[in-house]
Amino acid sequence: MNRWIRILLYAAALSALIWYGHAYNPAITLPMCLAQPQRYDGSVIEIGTEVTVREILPDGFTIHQMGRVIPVQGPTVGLREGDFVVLSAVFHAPDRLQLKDIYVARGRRRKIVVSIFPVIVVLYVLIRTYRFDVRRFIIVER
Amino acid sequence: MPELVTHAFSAYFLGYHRWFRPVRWIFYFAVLLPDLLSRPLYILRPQWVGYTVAVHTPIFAFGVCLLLAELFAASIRNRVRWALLSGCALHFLLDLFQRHLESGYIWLFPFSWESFEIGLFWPEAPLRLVPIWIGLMILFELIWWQRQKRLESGQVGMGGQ
Repeated sequence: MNRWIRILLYAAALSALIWYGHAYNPAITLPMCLAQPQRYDGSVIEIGTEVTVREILPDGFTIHQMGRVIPVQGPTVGLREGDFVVLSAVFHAPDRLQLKDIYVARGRRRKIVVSIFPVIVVLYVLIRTYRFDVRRFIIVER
Repeated sequence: MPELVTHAFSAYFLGYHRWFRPVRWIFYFAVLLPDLLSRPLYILRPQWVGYTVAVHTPIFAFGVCLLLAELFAASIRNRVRWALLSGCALHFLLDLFQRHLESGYIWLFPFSWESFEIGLFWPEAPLRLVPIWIGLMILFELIWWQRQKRLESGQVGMGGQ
């Protein structure tokens, strides 16, 4: 098969996978609950995408995710403001969560920073080892 | 996911195997690839997380490896393809040992949304071992460099006789 046809086929298949993952994901997310609170009242949801603890309250805490601040009722033992967390919680309309389980991802910021170094090293060596021949649209060894 | 130093370390010694050596850095790149594809968007644009669901899955990584291999010269394409596939497979193998509070990775996407994992460590746990991984890699590089130097000087000596 022609190389260009293979490239187009792979690119189309990858795009289709991205679309399918977005369109048919059965997970209930916090934005979905907040958009239709009555529909998802009482649902158990998992919240783990870039969630941080905003404030510790007497009966719980608030979390921050994508510009929203949501109150969570539950124990706060060991929690600190700014911690990255992953939650399993029951959603109560209109915008409240009842904590079921929590994981504090302490070290997440360090993990992100540390992860940058191998990427820089590997990309640097690859750029030194290979070059892109624009005319032939192909990567060749230097 | 463990951080990428741990992923790189998992591939480091294998990269010196004679089969991988000519494409060692592509293999190292591939072991980082599933996270390189998904995490930047996940971290910088969490509102687009829905679009990253497919990206950190074996089938997507498989497709990306095939696509990337097509960009390489025909003379090295097959080796590059296998290096990319092996690197991604190693990445997912390490991820399989993690545990998550929320659903983990959807290994059989798009055929199933079920997740399973061995659950030996939390994603942040290997961070403590990073200095050891870096130390071992530096030590091995030094030993390898010394060995190469000795071999080269031995060859020069033989040539001079």
